[in-house]
Amino acid sequence: MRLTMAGPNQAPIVLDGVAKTFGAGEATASALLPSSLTIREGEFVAFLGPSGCGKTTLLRMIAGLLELTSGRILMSGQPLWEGGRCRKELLHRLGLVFQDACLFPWLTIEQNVLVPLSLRGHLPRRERAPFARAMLALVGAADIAARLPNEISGGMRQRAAIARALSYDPDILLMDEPFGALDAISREALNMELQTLWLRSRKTMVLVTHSIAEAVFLADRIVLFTPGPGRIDRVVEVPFPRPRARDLVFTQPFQDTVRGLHERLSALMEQA
Amino acid sequence: MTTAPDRKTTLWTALRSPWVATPCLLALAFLGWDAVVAARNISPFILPAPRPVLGEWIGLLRDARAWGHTGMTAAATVAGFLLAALFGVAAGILLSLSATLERISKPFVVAFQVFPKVALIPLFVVWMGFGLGPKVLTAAILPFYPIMMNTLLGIRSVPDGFHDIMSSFDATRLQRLRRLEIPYALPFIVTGFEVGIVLALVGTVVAEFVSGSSGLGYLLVSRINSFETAQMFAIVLHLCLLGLTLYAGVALLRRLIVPRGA
Repeated sequence: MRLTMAGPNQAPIVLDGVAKTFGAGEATASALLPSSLTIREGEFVAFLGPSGCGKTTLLRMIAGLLELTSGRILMSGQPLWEGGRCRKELLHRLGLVFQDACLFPWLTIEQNVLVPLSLRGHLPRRERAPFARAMLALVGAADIAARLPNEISGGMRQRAAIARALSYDPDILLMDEPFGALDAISREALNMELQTLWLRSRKTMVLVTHSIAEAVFLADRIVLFTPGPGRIDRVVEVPFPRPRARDLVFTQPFQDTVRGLHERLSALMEQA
Repeated sequence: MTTAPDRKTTLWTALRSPWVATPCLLALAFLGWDAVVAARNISPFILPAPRPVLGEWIGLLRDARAWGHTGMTAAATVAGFLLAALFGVAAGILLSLSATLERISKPFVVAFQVFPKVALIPLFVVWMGFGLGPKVLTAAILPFYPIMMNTLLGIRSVPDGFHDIMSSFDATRLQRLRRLEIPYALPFIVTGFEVGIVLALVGTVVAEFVSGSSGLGYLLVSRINSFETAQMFAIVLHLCLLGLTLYAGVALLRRLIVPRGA
């Protein structure tokens, strides 16, 4: 145990030389070369890159779903992985959202939102429905509580998945291409909703995306990944003040930032 | 509002609805059967015409002893099916817990499946006598495999994303089973039940051929032994309706236990 109370080691997530290889012996394939990064308290970080660049692999390791090959992940100074095992008590501080909402189709949205808490068994029966509705209201979806997942739109399902992840009040929200399967209009609406949620809750958020515009609109910092084998290329600060208005995307500075990232990604793709 | 369809279309639409088409096809089949028997002058010992068969079946319905046999067959089938459902689902869940266990047990499971299980009925009679025992056991053994495999298949079909989500909620193994795997597998399990109930009836009837002094299988063999072919056909019809009733029971079960979203 470290005795320091403050400093970079108390940051919500510290990646220290984290690497992942799949397979063994001759067939070893490197999914992510050793990568280091400190994610600060209350920060919105986007992992940006083409497929196969290791961004999802890294997110899954932070989420405790995939073991590290080498390196360390520290959550508020405590190692997440120890002796090949994930420390479960640290997982309670993480909320997870995937591209597929992964709502149980046999449960209503309200029941789905209540699943995490019901597994931990601490919410009196009377408080359940109002609580689920309050969680859904955070993402602008209070009126779908009684519906089944297959009765609502993809955008609404993603809102429900975010509400479910928020239900146990995690400090950190990890999102793996949450809006990747949505149409452009729903995606824009959810980007606005997510910004509002972040401004209100100030949770630490990590968003994996392959949309440059989405990363620039939402993130404080963008971590640019490059494929073959996956590694972090650079970290880019996004200068735009908050709250960011919907029509920020049409301004020249925004488009310049997007173009800069696009050119860098294209150059990386040609090298690879 | 759409315009009213003309008469020709409505007739065609009506004919294509299963409530009209199915009885029509059935009536056609009976007429064909009747025609073949009359035209070829087939002996009633070989193939009786549909009307005497129907007459015998109505006679069967009025006969209290026949209802006793029906009850025996139904009871053995349902008892065997319930045993198969219990042990089949339990075995499917057990195999799903460990890929190693599934691999190790696979040769035995396959051997059990390919083995003609009805060949064991005479042995069951030696063990348990001529009562309900061998019938219930046969009715339990035949549906066991499809119920077990459907349970296993259902649990194995749970998408990885659902497992990841449960991991992120830090669910225990038991919670994962109760809250995710079993609800997800329910439609698969009920499909296993639908196949299983029919196999259970087959098991009972075959066991009654071999061992019985009661039940519809026994009644069928005794009628064919005395060359009462029309009565035998009536019993086959009766068995067919019993099978339909049992199947309908399982179909009703699907409505009751499988949630509408799944």
